[in-house]
Amino acid sequence: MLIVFIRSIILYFVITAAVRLMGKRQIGDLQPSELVITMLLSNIATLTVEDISIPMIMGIVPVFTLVSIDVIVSYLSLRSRRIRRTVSGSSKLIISNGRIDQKAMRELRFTTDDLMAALRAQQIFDLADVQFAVAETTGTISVCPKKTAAPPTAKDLGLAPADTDPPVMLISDGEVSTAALNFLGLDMEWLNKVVKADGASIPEIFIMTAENPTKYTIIKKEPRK
Amino acid sequence: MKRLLISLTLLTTILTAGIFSAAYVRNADARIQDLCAEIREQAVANTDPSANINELCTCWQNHCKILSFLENFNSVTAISAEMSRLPALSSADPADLIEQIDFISEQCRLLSQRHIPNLHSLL
Repeated sequence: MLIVFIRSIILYFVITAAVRLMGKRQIGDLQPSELVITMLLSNIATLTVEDISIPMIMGIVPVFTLVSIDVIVSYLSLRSRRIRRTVSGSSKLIISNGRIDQKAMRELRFTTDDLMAALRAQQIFDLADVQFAVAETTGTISVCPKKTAAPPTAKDLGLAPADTDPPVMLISDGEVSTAALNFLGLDMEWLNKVVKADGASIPEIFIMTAENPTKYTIIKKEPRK
Repeated sequence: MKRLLISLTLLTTILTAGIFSAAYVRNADARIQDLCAEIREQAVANTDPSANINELCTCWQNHCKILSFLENFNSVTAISAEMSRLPALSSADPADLIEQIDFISEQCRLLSQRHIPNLHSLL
């Protein structure tokens, strides 16, 4: 049991390092090659943890080999459209100008149920509201609704609100983010002044976000019982 | 770019280590096969094979230490169990010794083949 425990810890760090090496793309929607890698990694890790007669190196080597190949193939896909198409495929238009491309749906083996389910997931319940729908290489469907079915934008209403950046987190659980402070062009002096004015100190702040020097939100930590 | 360099470095390292380990296993197996052949000759000629048997056991023990990182534990211990019978067989009937040494030689050959890339080991 002790050996399985130690192997589990080692494999945890190995797999974490492998997923970090692959980069943030892995954590979002999966391309076909990324799905393959994910499934293989999980199986390899399981085998190595459960069967202690298999040497650890026989788990670690395939993990890093697969991940390295995936990174290299991703890099080559960036440089070559042909490789990108071969590895990931290409998006397909399934609804164009409100008309369903039934041939494209047959090629993708998309049933009408699949199509309606994908539209409902995008909060569209009427086919007549769809202008364009694209089946992405990840298997998801991106939908562009018709103007008459889409919510109006500020532009449609003749309004021109000023562009603003979203608030950034300056303090997280008592720790200050100097990068966020620099991004807003602020300094520690301002931060200390603002926090003191709220009747607290920096270690007592749970979350503090700010858009600019005059617009900020402070949430203090709750006292522990 | 950093990830690409790390990946290329990892792949190169793994490939190099793989080639070295295959070369090591092949050389170690060649030595074991030579010793098995000498012991067989000595058994056929009815001369004392104890020295070569001791050398074979020592060679296997050292090979085992490295092989345990590369090979399934059950395969290695199976051959170790057969090797441990050799010292007792050195003073027994030569026919038994020849049979045992042939068996060990074949097992070691099969084990080393798994580390050398060829159609059989890959498929």
